[in-house]
Amino acid sequence: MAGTLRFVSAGAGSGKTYRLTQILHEKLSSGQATPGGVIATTFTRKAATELRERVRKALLEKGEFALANAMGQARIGTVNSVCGGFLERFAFEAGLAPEQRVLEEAQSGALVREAIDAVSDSATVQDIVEIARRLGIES
Amino acid sequence: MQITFGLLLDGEHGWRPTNRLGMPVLGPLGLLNLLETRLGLLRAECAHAQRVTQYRECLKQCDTPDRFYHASFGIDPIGTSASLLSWRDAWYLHGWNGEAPSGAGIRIADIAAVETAARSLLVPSIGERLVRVAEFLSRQQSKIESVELVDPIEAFPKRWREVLAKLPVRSVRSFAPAADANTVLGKLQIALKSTHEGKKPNGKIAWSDDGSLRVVRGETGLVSARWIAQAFASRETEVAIVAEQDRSLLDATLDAVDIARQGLQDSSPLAPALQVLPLALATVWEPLDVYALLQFLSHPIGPVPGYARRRLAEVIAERPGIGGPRWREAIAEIEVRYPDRAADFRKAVSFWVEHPRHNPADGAPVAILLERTRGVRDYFAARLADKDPIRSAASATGFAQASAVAAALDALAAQGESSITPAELEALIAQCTARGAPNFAMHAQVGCVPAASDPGALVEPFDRVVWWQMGAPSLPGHYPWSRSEMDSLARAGTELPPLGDLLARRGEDWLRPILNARKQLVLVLPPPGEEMHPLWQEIQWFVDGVRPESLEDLVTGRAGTQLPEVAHVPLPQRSRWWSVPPEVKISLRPQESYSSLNAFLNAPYQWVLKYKARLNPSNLLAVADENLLYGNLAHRLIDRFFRTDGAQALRGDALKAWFSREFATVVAEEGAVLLMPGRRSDYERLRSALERAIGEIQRQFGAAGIDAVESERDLAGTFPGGALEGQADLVVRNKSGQRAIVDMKWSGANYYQDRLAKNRHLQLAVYAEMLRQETGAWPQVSYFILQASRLLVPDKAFFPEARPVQSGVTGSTPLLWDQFISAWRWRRSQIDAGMIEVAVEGIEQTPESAGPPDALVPEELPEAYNDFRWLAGWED
Repeated sequence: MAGTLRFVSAGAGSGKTYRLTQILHEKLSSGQATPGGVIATTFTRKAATELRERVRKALLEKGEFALANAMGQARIGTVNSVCGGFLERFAFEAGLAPEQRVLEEAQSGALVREAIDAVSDSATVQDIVEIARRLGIES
Repeated sequence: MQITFGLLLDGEHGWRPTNRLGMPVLGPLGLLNLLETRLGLLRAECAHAQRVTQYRECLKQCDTPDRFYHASFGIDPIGTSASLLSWRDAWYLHGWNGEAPSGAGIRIADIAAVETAARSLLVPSIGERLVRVAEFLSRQQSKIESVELVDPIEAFPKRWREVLAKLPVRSVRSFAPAADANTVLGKLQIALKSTHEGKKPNGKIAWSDDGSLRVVRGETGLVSARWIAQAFASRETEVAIVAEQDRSLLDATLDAVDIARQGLQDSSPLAPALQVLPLALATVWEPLDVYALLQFLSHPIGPVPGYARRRLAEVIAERPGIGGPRWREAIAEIEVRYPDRAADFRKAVSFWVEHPRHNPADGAPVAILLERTRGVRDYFAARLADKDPIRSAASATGFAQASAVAAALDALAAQGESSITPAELEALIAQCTARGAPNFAMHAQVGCVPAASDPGALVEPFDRVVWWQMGAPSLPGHYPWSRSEMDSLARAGTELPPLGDLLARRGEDWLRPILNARKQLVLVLPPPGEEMHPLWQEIQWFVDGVRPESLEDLVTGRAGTQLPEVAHVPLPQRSRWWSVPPEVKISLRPQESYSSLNAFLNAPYQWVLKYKARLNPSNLLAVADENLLYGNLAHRLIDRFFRTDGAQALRGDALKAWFSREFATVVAEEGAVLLMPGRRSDYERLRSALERAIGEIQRQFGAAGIDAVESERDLAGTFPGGALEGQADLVVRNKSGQRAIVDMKWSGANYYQDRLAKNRHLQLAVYAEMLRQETGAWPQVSYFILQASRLLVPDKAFFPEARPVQSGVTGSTPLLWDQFISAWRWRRSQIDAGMIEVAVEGIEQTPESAGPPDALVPEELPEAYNDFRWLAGWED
């Protein structure tokens, strides 16, 4: 696998997930890859769920029961969950807090406002407010 | 003593209850406790959070810039300590000797170095306690007759294996297919067991509906729960249940249909009693967290006396801040109402609310936090003996949480820490709260069946096994250590089971409910779209043609078994008129105001519901903010301006100085939400608008030759319906002795301009009439729009510099009043006749909706402000 980068690009519903499960089956059953060495990310939970289920189903259909069970070791999930897992795994190397959370949209908005407050003083904000008023863009 | 012991059996009851002494079924915590008791090794329980705090001190003592945890510890000392404590505890459980072998990486070396401090500072982990138990068992009789293992010996961590080696382990339970081998279930059991033992599948099983295997799925969890409840109602068959997910839903549904609850409660860190301490501590920071304070005061449980809590919460919601006029009025009102408890009340408010606050960057003194935490602990301690067992149990969880936080803070103080930051405090509370507490009102009832939250805890065969919500299970996670670290740990005696083995073990655990079903296995799948359980995928592969039955079909009778029908009761339909029976008389109110008359005229059903039925929405639902808050603050500031001697004469820097001082005070007392992080632009925008508004008011009043201003002027009068009352924002008088009413609005210049132009300024007309009755002359009327700094008047007669709004009607306000009186009489006659108009957008008017020609024509009030719109009825 080292040094190999393969792109599978196709339209919706054309069989990308099917092809992906085929590749996974080939690599896993031939021993070229182990379940713990698989990383697959999707953008939605639904897609991640579907991918996990289809990979297991494909392995079961080939009679690979042990491999299907071992797929619990594969990191298949949304970008948030897989990358969040890596952030936690390497938190000490990165100097981060060991527990990482994905913020809700409202929380991130509040944090942005707090951050703006932290880097601006009242005089600057007063100037901006005055300019906004003159331009009629107060909200 | 004959013990049954399994890794997953703590807190479970997946076996038949029987009358037997000396034959306990135990999980790891239960057996460890029993052995330590018998061997004389018991020690005082140490809360997890306390151990985290102890380990924090160990890490701190060893911390240098080259430690691998240095940066993370600097950011999050509690979280880092909890994380690394879980590492070393897991290593010890699996046999670590506490040392770093040569060549071990920096992380193992650093943690081994920390052990020098941990030996004296840290209460031992389970692994270390097991080592001690094993030592004692070598020289002391346990007086245990036999131990039966539910799990194979190799599934146990190393330290447990060492203990079990010294106990009389007589047998290891094996789980064999329990169903008739000729049924679909029996064949499935054999096939699954064989495959999980590593054998190749021996073909597929043809599906037949012999009743031994049922697979059902509802579109929602509630439908599934309702169906299960119905199945439980028949007690003909012995049942056991596996419920790993959505447990509370199932129990609540059983309860709703009068079937014994199973005690399947999901714990929550947000259990009411567990919210009190976090809220009490969230208010110690500067600036005040208004939302936390409102939650603290409006919470049904709390150390501020209940009779005062709600009143103070109302003030915080309406005027977010402490110490303002409304706050002082509320305090005085409570003291008058409860004179014998006034001293206690004052003390409580002073301690819990009006206390000094601390800069988050510097942290809050540990001593202060400890005092407050002990206060919460004592509050719960006094309620432990509550006669209501539910309240008593809830108090016990609050007490345990507060005790754990107090112990952790005590430990920090003993370690010489003088202050703690908000993030550290939050992490500490989270460690002490852990998974939280269940709903104690939903405990198990007599008649509950054997139940397990983990499939591996169902350890006996039952005629019928129900697996509720068989969705994606939680799986063991990857170890957070590299392969070379795991090798080093192995050289230090640690036998960490490979992840593959753990997953295979979980696979074995999942088989138990399947194998233990004797006559019937019922699998309730989660709603479509949710991830399937891997075992269900296996079952699907084996049983050719098995399909989940639709519970919607089952419960509606399309597939045979029907739930009892619930009679359809339609919601009330929308109708333009409500009719009141003749015997019900809706009387006059002794006193009306503009607000009530506005509803009376334009939305009679709102008037009836609000003022006669006295239905009012809670005023604790939200903290006043944005336009409502800005308007309130503006009124308060301008009131202070006109009540301050000499303020009207202030100009230039003196006015600026007055404004800066007073604005800051008003916001702190009644608009503290604007002082919270992230609100600076709102604060400055309001400040800028109000500074301009006061300047404009000065200019307008100067131009009009105003020589007397009355702020928040009380008004009273009468009208055909009785007494009238109100309060004008400003009543001003010019040098000629003529008066004008100024009503201040935060925004809505176009709307109020339109009111004047169309001669519909009813609020001003009501105020003007009361002032006319008092002085004998109609006053001028005006709106001052604060945000726009604009004074709106019908004409320039009184305010020469104001913006006139041409209504084209001479003597408009007296005319408006006459039109209103005519409209009022018309509405009153309708109500006397028992006819109440439901004037709501979307319900068509009828001929009765039109008043007499000389009456003010009613108009629809904005739906956004109609608290009763859902009581107006529903469409078909």
